[in-house]
Amino acid sequence: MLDHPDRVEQFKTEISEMKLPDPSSGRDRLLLRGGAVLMAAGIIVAAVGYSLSHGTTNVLQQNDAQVVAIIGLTLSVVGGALFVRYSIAHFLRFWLARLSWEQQAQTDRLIEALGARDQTASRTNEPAA
Amino acid sequence: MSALPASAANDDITVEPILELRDLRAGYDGVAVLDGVDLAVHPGRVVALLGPNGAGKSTTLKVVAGLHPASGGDVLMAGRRVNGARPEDLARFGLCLIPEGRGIFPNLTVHENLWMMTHRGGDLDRVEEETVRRFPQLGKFMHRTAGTLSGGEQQMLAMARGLSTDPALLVLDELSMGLAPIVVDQLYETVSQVAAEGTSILLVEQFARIVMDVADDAAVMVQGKIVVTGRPRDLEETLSQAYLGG
Repeated sequence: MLDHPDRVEQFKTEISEMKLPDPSSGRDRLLLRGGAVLMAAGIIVAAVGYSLSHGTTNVLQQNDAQVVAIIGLTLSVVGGALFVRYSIAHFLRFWLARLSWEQQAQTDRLIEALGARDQTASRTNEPAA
Repeated sequence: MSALPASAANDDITVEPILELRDLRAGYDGVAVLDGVDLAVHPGRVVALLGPNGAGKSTTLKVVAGLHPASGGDVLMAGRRVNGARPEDLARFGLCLIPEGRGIFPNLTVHENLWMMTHRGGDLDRVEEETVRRFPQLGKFMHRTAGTLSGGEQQMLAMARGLSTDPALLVLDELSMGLAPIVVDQLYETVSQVAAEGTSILLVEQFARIVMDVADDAAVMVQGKIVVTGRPRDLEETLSQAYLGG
């Protein structure tokens, strides 16, 4: 038998309300930002490749510059894919939370309406005194 | 699998454990120390975790207190998974760890050590009063430097500091280490009083004999696993075998 059940209850309440860092959300945020950085960096590398290629008449140097530009474009595509992937995940997670909240609110409204209807019906069916 | 059978863990099996470890794994630099620990502490119970050196007992307590990350499994408090919770949050809500080696400020006086525990707005007079009530011998040393106290008195001070936070779950790591048997008995008498007041306690010890009269349930840990559970009285032989590597 506990002498202080309130202390246990208080502990339970506080633990249930405690905010916990979600390790996966930190990783998602990092990959989202990494994707955005790669996208921008890829475009810059491609532009540098173009400029290198444009600034020379040497075919070998132009070939090298084109390889640099292609690498830049690849980085940009990979970064874009990461950015889209984690942006959509973030949006869908929010959307799912919103959907479940709305569904719960709708269920509560329905229960309330049914309860009110039952009360009215029972009052109507009561025989007059 | 629950390490403590429901009947042993609590008379009322419907009560949710205040602390539960499920298949808990942890290690240091890739070396596994905990290899799937299952343990439950129900409200108001005293659970002893016994085992030889290097079994992973202290690591278990560190993971429970949030001081060391779990590499797998779950730490549940009051039914909620709290893996990754910050130790300061757990301490604020009522988990108190009294570590091996006392955890006091040796350069501060007893009074100042207790004063440090009022940082969240507690009343120092009340803390001192409570300390003297539980440990009368500390009363005359209030203005003495904590580092000059005997080992037993330092441990009492560590306990007084911990208890001043009004913990819901008290976690004690080898309270008896390096202390005379008479002092250990006195400390465990206080632990019994604290348990009788309703605080749940998880304690670590090397010998079942020490906690025989205090703990309701016990679990023997060997090489990062709980190998047997039961009443401390029934586990002495298993523990001896564990020490001898049997």
